[in-house]
Amino acid sequence: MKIVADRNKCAGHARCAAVSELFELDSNGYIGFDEKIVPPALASEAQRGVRACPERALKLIDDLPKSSS
Amino acid sequence: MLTEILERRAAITGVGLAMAGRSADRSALNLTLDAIFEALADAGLRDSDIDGLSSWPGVSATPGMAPVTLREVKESLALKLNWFAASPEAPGQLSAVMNAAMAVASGQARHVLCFRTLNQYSAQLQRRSLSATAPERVAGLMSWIRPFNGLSAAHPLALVAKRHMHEYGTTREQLGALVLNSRRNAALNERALYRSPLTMQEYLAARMITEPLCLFDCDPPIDGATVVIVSHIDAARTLRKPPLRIEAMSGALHGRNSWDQFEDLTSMAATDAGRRLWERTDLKPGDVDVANLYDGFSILTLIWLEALGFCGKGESGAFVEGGARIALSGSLPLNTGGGQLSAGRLHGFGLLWETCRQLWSEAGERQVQGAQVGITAAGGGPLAGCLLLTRE
Repeated sequence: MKIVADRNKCAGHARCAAVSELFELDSNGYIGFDEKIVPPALASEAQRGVRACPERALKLIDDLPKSSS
Repeated sequence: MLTEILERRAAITGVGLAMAGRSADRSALNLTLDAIFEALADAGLRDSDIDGLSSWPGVSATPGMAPVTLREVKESLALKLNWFAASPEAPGQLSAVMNAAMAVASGQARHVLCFRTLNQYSAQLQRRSLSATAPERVAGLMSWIRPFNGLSAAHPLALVAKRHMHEYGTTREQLGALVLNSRRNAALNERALYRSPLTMQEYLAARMITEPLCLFDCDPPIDGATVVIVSHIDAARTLRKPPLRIEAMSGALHGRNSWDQFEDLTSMAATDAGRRLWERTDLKPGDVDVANLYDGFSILTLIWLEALGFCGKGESGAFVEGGARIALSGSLPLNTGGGQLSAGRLHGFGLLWETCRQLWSEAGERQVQGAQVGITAAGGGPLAGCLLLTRE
């Protein structure tokens, strides 16, 4: 699972960073990355942060390969 | 009794506290969310279980007084709210909890997050002088005080303390006994702001703020947030911890809406709220195992002791004298987490947090053995609210 950030949409509300430290900001207070892998244990925290974005600049993508069981 | 006591359908199911203290390192929203996440984990609830939100005063023109609004919290957590409210036109800090109790009792919500966040320490750092941020015209209650050089609540309350001393012979040593008791309890509370020992000598020698209130009679402004979750009793029994039922609550205001125009100078809204509280329950003051009563200024705790009937009018100085009666091992353990005087100004919510921890037997070294009934009161002057809690 990874977070994908659209830095053009980010307006620096920093609501994601307020709910989770996963969302590191740059020195101007905007989202500090384009993509970030989320450790499975922090999945619900990542969801919280993505939900908090008022600009819809954040997405959560499940990029794990489908298991072939 | 004439009416059903509906607040008994409400219970506290989780609490959270984020204390930055005398530090401006963490934003008010961060602190609020830290406390919310702690409370949710405490209760065993998820964000999506929360359908109500409550605070006091909601918004305020005073810097640091209400830095986080309901709507910011709602947006940060994408809450789906069935009910929310916060109003400064209410009986003080605990109105947030009382409103929540009424909301769950009437079926408007099942689980209500009640929060109180202050960042008055940060706000003080930012503001250069009182006049830089004060409104152009003094309005509201302050318009009756400011013309006589009353710059803060300390001034009218110093008059109350002075009057209490004049009428009833209350002494600074008696106020000091209360302050020292709080500091002893704070030493056992890892979340408290000031934990180093304080002696009577140091208390009596402390800088005067406004006579007879010295530095240690006034609570320190801090950055911090406290959260309490109020749930419907039917939804509370399946959660992590035994529900703390609201046995009775009151925010009565019969006298004047004023800091100094009650029937006498040592009575306040607390007098009305306290009287009304006991009309709503068969329990008596003697049934209370632990009391956390508002101490924004030490004199306010004395007023609350009288208002809630723990002693007679004018007897509160003698009641706390020496500190034995109000110690953790005494007949009325008082401000067991250190109160606001030592733990920091969380505006009544810190006191409620502590009462809950005691009733859940989670207070560690400062635990009052077998605490089943707890009381918390908050406010001074025309603000007064009180809650009587019982462990199920």
